[in-house]
Amino acid sequence: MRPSRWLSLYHYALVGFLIAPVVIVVLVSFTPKTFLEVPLTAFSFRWYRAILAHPEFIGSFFNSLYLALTVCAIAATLGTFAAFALARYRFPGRAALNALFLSPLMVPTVVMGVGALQILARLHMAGTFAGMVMAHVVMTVPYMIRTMLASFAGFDRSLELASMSLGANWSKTFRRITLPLVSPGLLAGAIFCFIVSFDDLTVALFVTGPRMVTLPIRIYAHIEYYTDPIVAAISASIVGMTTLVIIVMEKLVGLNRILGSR
Amino acid sequence: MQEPKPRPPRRISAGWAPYLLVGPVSAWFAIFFVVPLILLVVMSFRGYVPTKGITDTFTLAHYSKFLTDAFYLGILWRTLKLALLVTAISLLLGYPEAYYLTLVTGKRKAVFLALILSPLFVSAVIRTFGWMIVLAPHGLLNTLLDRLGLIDSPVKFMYSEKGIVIGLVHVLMPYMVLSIYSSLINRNRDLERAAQSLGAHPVTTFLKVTLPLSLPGILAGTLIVLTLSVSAFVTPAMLGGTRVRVIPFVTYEQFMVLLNWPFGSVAAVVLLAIVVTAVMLYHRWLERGKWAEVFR
Repeated sequence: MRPSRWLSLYHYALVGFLIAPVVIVVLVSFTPKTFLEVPLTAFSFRWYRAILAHPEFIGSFFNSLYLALTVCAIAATLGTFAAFALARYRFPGRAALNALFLSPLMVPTVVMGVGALQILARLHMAGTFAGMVMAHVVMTVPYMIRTMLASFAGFDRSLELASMSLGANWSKTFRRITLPLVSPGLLAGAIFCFIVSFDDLTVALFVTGPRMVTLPIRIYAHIEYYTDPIVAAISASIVGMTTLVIIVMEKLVGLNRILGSR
Repeated sequence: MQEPKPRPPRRISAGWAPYLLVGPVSAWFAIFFVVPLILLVVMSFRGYVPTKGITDTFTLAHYSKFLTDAFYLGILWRTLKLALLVTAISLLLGYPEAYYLTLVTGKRKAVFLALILSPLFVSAVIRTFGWMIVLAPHGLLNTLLDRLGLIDSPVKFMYSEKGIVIGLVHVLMPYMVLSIYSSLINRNRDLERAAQSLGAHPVTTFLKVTLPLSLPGILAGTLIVLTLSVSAFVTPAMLGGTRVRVIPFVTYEQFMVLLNWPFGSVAAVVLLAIVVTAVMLYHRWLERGKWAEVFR
């Protein structure tokens, strides 16, 4: 069955709506003017050059990058262990722990932010890098556990048994058989963790400090007071990097496999 | 040469192994998830004196203020109204798209899926900044509507409920489309063909065959979109701000601007209660209602 002409037309209109804001931001970033306007006659890179004159944006970018990478590494490790236990063993408390580990997905982000602020204030860690890592790991582990649970569930365990019966020990089997088989899930989970942590504004607003300003906070604060196209240039750069990463992923693993496991 | 003896697999006793594996996450969740939620509830009952700050007293005053004051009741009502509106619009706009995606195949489908999901890969701040440019008083949307002769004076999209609805429908659409798509893609198309060959009108076929088959997806999608739009912060904060407050914004404002943590905690607890109630109602409905057999 082929889609009717009206349905196809509707589809392109909806896709247009979904990509509109990003396309607009990218176009605006090339304006030579000092206000937010889609350039029609002249194009310029002046707002990209302007980024170099604003080291605070570049500093915030690296803050966000280090934060997201640290969060990713911790969440991937903790999440894989937990998902392995939940998928492979039947033990008292398993269902309750499963529900607990996935529940942050349901809790509104402002509530996560308020909670993080209260506990970090008591531990005197509000406004620090470590504090933000703590808060973000709780937000990201559920994504990791969910993708890894799916990976371990769709897994042919006879391959492990074959490996062990041929003399490989437990750790060799895990490294050579189990890990490679679940690596697409691991990668997908890690990408979600990275995006959640790198893009997070809500929780970060509650636990930010003068020495720990992430890129979303820097952009948000800038927009509140100025409407120059430098934010468009920064946003377009991030969108460009994201697109690049997605294309590389597509070539390396295939987007279908990554998206399919969500 | 002597053959190496197969060693018995080294294992931690199975009784303890799962607890060792979930131990680190459990500890992390206890400290940074469970304890903060308890602290939040405790904080919502604490006293607050503007000159002195938070006091060590027990009071229900913040709850009674939030749930009786017309100003805050108005915000509560607006939050729910916007969420229901966003859910309804996402469903109406998302359904045809999900249906369309089941009809295309191959490379085209992969590209379309990626485009549909693209709002999720773009930072909330960047995405909403784009909407600020589009929705501004003399922005692209108003210019377009003016050129088409549809309006005489600019429509107020920025700092209005309209803008928030547009922004939220945009970012939550992928969840709705994906949910419905996953329930439609595996449907048995012979059922539709059978209905058609027996003389059913396409509309009848859709209402009696296709729509019921996609109910699980519709229910899952509306739950996700409903809870996420009630909890949304970035979109209403940037497109509405102090002029169109919703509960998540009030929570932020009370905590970070007015420093009234107890009252902010009440707003957070109310928000959490709304989301938990919605999820529980859905599950109860699914288990007991007449849709129960759909989910077997």
